[in-house]
Amino acid sequence: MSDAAAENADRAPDAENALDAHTAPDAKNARDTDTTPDAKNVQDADKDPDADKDADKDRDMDVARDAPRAEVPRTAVPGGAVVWHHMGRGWMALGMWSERRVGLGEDAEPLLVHHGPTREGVVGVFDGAGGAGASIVAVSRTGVPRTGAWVGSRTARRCVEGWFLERLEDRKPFEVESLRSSLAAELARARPRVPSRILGSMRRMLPSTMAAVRYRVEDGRVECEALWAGDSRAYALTPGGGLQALTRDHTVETDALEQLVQDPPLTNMLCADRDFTVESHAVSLDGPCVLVCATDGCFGYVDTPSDFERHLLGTLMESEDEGDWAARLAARVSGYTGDDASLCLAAFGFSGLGELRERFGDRLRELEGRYAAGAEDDDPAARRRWRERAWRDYREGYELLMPSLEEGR
Amino acid sequence: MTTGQQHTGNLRYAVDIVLCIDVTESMSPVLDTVKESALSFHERLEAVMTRAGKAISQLRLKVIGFRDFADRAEDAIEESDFFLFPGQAGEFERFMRRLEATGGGDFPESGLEALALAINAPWEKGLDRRRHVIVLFTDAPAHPIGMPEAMAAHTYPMHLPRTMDELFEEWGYASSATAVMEHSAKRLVLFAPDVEPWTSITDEWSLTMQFPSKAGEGLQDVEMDEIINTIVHSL
Repeated sequence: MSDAAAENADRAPDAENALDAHTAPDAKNARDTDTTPDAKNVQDADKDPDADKDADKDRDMDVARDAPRAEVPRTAVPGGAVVWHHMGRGWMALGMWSERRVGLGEDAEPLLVHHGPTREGVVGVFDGAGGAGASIVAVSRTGVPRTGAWVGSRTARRCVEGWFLERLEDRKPFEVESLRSSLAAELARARPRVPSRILGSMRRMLPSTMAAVRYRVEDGRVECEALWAGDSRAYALTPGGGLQALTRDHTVETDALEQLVQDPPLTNMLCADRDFTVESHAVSLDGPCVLVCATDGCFGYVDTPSDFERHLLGTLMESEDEGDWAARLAARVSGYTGDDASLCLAAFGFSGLGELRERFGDRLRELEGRYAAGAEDDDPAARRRWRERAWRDYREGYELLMPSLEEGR
Repeated sequence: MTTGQQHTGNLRYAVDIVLCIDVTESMSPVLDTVKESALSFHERLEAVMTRAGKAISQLRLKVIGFRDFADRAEDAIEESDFFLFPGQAGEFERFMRRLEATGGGDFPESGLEALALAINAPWEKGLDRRRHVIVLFTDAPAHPIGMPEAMAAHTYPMHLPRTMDELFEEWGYASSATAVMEHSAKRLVLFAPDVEPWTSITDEWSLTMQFPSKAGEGLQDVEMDEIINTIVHSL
């Protein structure tokens, strides 16, 4: 085990291969989603991060460059989903990924990189925008057609991972503009050679959303910077505050219930052929917390925004260990979603799943007491009244950590 | 709460589609394609939507056939009400069968008038996840809207915008106060040649996509599966 501890909950077809598949459809590197992980991108972190707190940072960084990396195992669960989980000391993480049509999932697999010595990391999700990027831009080695959305999400994922590791290792500041320009350059390099037959403002080359949180754990606090484009979301989940959004969707409609009801068009997303923005929002979280990143397949098919938190905590309470939580969450989301779905979460300051369950028990009971009644009403008008009432009650806490509307303009 | 299924949302899509079809002589290939698919249209659309993960709560179709007001005032526009599917599929088919590809006069047609009528259609207002889709088929450029020769026709709908700028205002943009259609719901899908005004509309109007065709060839290379896939991907 190395002094450096970084890990990556990834086993996706890596974006380099997606890029190859895109630029040269029959290239030898083209892969399907069932290929093995690229081992060099996966690092082991089964180590006490506290032991490094006083270590020489330069030494840590040097070691980090050459550190052997181990894979966080992925587990296929019933229903075609895949989950990952890891338990560190004082922190834990899990990821889930599911696809609506086997082999065609346009979400990239979730990203988690955690660097033990500095207790910094990044979690993220990437949702290939199927409507805007439906054109086939590549064919995998095994003959599976790949859409622009499929390639876009994987290219974006690889870029964010590379950006974080490079800046970490070179001790460069994590400037948002450097991430945006890296994404723009990577996506532009991956542009299809053959233009889409369809034109217009709704079409994008390699379109993808992104929601990531770069974090640093320090003296019991978690310093976060949410980074996003589009309508994937990052949240903080705390026993006292519940689920609180750290991002604001890039849509004209800003009300989360209306976003659910309308499914509005995006005003910004990552892509290879137009300007885009990466918005950022810094938040400092005091005490134990969970960072959650999710694509709209997780939160966009519920009746009212509080339902997503009920699903997160309901599966937590039923689970026996972190792997079981991930599997239950994947099964739960697959049960209600109409889309590909991916989620990544990292919990800090809890001794284990038992403490997580204990600390969030009251919160789930409160949610069930406030919002469960009415969810099963057969009368559409009554259900509508219920979801509006539930949202009015839930909204203030949910939006407490959100960036202001002015912040993103 | 024990299972996801218990809490499956009721967030299905209420889809209104207005088909604006150039029914001048050269358009008989695509008109025949739509006619032949009329009875199965909703099933095919629903099947593709299901594959895309989008369930339909309600599907309505309306047809606006158009020619040229300056050339044939009497039947420059042939417009149906919205048909509710699947119950009114037969009425939709009967309306389609009555449309004949004939006339046209000079090359440009009254496509912008048809588009303006579609924008002002009685769109669904109540259901969740509304989608208001205008699909326009033509193989010709369009006369300027409000052209004096067209307005001289006794059948010309005088409530329509008189200029391209006014039409653009009716289509609107994000947070536009003058937009007639709901921003989240509206989509414009053009099966049209890369000529004016369609090129400018594709470039400048929001929530618009164009499937470029060859001018004067009646969209004969466009198949129904392609039409349905394009509509679904616009949603």
